[in-house]
Amino acid sequence: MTLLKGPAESRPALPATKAPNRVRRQIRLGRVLLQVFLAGGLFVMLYPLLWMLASSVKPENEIFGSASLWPEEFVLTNYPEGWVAGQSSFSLYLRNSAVIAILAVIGNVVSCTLAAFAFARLKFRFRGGWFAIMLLTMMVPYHVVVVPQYIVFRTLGWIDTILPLVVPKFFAVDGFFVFLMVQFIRGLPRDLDEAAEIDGCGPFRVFVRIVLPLTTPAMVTTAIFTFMWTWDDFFGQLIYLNDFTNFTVPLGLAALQASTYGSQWGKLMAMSVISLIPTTAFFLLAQRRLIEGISTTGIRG
Amino acid sequence: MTTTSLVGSRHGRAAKAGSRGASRSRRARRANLAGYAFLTPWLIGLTVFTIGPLLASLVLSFTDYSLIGKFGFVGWSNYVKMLTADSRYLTSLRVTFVYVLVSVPLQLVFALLLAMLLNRPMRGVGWYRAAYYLPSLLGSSVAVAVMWRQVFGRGGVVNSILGAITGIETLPNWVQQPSTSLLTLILLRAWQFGAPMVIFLAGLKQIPREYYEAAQVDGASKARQFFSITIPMLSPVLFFNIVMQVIGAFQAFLPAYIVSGGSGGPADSTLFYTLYIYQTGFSYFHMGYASALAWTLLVMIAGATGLLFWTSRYWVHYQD
Amino acid sequence: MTKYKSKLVRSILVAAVALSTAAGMGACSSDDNKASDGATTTDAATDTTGTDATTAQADNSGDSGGEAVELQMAWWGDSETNNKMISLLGTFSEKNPGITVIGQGADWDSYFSKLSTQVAGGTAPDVQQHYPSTIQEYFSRGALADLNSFSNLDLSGIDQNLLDSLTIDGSLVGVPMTIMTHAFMYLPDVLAEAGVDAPAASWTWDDFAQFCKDVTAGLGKTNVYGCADGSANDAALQVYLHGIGKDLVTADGQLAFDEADFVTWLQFWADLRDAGAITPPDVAGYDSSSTETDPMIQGVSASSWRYSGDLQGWQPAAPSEIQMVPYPGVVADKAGWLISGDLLSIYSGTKYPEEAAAVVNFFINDTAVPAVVTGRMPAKEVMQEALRAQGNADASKMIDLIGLVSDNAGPVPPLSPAGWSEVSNLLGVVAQEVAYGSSTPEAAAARFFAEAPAMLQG
Repeated sequence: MTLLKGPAESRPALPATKAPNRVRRQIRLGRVLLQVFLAGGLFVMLYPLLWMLASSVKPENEIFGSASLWPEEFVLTNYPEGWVAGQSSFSLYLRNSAVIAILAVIGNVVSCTLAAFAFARLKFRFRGGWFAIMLLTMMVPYHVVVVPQYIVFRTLGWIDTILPLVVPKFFAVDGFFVFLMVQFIRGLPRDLDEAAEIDGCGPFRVFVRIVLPLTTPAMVTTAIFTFMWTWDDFFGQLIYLNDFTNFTVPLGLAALQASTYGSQWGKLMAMSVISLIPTTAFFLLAQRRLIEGISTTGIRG
Repeated sequence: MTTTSLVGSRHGRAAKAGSRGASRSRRARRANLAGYAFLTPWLIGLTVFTIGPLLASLVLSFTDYSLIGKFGFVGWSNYVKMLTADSRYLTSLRVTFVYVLVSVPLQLVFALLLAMLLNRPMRGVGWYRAAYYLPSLLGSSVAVAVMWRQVFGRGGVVNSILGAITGIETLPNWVQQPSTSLLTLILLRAWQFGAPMVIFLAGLKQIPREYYEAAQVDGASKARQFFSITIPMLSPVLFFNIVMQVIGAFQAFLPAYIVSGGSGGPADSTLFYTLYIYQTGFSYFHMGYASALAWTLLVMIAGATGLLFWTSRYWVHYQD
Repeated sequence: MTKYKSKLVRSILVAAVALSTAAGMGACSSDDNKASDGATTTDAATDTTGTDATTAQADNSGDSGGEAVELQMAWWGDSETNNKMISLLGTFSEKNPGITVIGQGADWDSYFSKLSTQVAGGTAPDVQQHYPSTIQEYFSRGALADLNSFSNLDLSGIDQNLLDSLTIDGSLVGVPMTIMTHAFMYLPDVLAEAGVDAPAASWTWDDFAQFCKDVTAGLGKTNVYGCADGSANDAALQVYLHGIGKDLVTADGQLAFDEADFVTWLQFWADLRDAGAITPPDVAGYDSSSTETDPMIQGVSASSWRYSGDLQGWQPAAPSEIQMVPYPGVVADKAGWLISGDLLSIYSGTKYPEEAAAVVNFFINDTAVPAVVTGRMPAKEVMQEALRAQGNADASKMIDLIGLVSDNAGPVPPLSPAGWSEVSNLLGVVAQEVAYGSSTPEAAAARFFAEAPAMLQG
């Protein structure tokens, strides 16, 4: 935790020699303003959650009829009823979603780091060409490759399993994360791996010993986004999962959506709130690594 | 086109390696081997999962494929139709370009600003980060769509605030006005700045603190530090965010899909390009035409990305 | 293809085509009976309706002998629907030992994206739920079997007009599990507040215009209106066109009304809008079929243009009790007709056509069905009465409205032809442009008639 000594703490020491009082007051004022600004922004940011929370405890006809966040009448039944509304209970959906999301995180972090290291640090024929192809794969709108992709997975016999949603992640098909890692690795000082190479380290050891520890922030970022985007990926799960026992949280939520034949907004809001808990928890846990992740200065110093 | 910067750096290193006098060809062969070894998973993924469907969609763009049933080749006629006889295509182009040009800078400015504010050790910074990231966690769910329509509705919170300030009693439903509906989607994107913010945060973490300390010793102002340390050191990440947000904004689909109920309305004012592709392929059963639209979009995105890569030579600083 | 110079490019293309198209993309039948089809998939589109379907059945009918049969059935709906359908499938299996039906449910918005992907990918469910306005897209491309060919389907008691409308070139494309009709929904409490009488069961468009003005004036509020804007609603337009002896479109894909009719229609609404008698466009809820954007549910209109089948979903979200009457007619009494709510169809590539037909038969005839599917109106009268006997108030309202309409209804209009989805969307867009003031009725009608014919041929 010694690493946490950031610019904010070290700053006052320096100007103190020049104009102590004025600057100190300015800094204190700056901090107060910052806190006010951040807290004000919080309302704008948190409004949707408050709205969802409020809607989840309102009776059906009050959700859209009234602009007030405070319910005139509290209805707490949406949570227990929403939980068991589907063919299976939400605990099963949460479990299915978690399995897919965690496997996807592992797959993406491992495979994208490997590919990114190759693109960023290794020298091989056609590197530029492969890199351009990787970028191009990100530019085709998803909906026109849905059907061909579906046929590929059908040929493999993977329909109605989680494999189409998970296996590709182990093969770095998300160019976004490869490119992200490439940019991070290229931002790392090169003298470290050059020193290691002179010491006789091969590419693999450079990767494990030098690059891997330094790319923690990028890997954490990849993990956060993969978890969230897999958790929210409605269309892929819709197409590839048929059986109700394979249903995930987005599919369970869609089934609560008011259709022509039903109206269950309160339950939908209640379960939407529930479905936010895992992603928020994952973010809170992972973002700590964004604070601690910076052990690089230690190595470098 | 997209590889200029990579090529540039390769030359520099090759020269260095050569000067050391090692056997260049053997080194090159070994480097080649190592490169492809690390790339193997990606190459397998490309071959098995990605390239086939991609090329299939390219082939289909020259057919009258309807999604169901058989198809025949129709030459360039899908592309001709797009350019000559499709008024909604032109609408979708206009909507998409406005969206990209306005929402990307707006979102990135918010993201960078908040990332810098939340990159300091401060009580409860984790909670602040989570709170500012929360809108992005909500993604593009039905709940968000419903909430957004309520917020900008006639009796929504936006009108309550505007009404209190201006004293105007009847303010419109902003989502359902063709003149403002796209604006509300731009604001939605700006509001969900969490992803680039987290990437900026991770990037800021990589900047060695010694640089700032040295600058302070030299008496450099905060602004000076921002432009001569933060921006150059952050430039690879900034570049990534710009490229990916441009690609993402061109392909934006879900916000318009959920907020407009799939129609791109009111009156086609939020008919994003990819939403039009989706309608064409899945609702109107012209998957061949939809594929042609998609590949035209790819050319546009590749052009924009290529342009960005070209500019990156002048302002992105890599450590290699 | 000969234009490509590079051998590499050509071989990549060949590989891509081989991988994707030959794997089943261009075809509509399941993989088992398609080994021979593979070679011809890239041929120009050919008409495969009917004949293809029956041969598929003939090829496969032997497969099911003796062994346990597993079928897939897909429907749209929310979690409540899913639960009811699954329990019905359990009942079906009890009554038909040896046949297991696996259910697949998706919400309305995504049901058809998934279904079309499955059909394209050769994994389509054996029994599928369809909607009248889009079923032709599937049938005309050979994805659905002719239901006339099944002897184990008991269709007696289903309205003959309805069945006729579902018959294309002699093939029955789907059978209605449920029926509905056009329903002008209104809130009696709000009318009472405005001091206006409820609309009569038979009324004209002139009555309607007066009704809107009276309610809006009677309420005297700034943001509440008598009626929702129906100018962009093609169902309302179709009812109007029927009154003048026309229709939206013919079965073979020709527009069945002319530019002047459309101008009259748009002008009718423009006048009401100018008079402030109907919802302004920003609260008209043009875009969504969900309760949440409906002006009546939102409390800005005293009424809404719906179908009778919506009542179950709309009532819980509404501010007060909902009542329904038929849409207005050009001549009173001559408005509305029966509409198929949920059609059941059989995939042309199914391995077990007879068993699939047994499932369809179960859903239209078994008395267990109405007792479970409360929100929807069974197609057969005996089944409707079984539902009424449960004492559900919404169900009684639906039955009464359907009875009222079917007494006067003539022939049911033919199914929308392939291509109609795009035309219908265009119709909505140009009508909205008039409402928002960016176009005039004349310009909007001109644009519609310039662009729509190509869509219907496409």
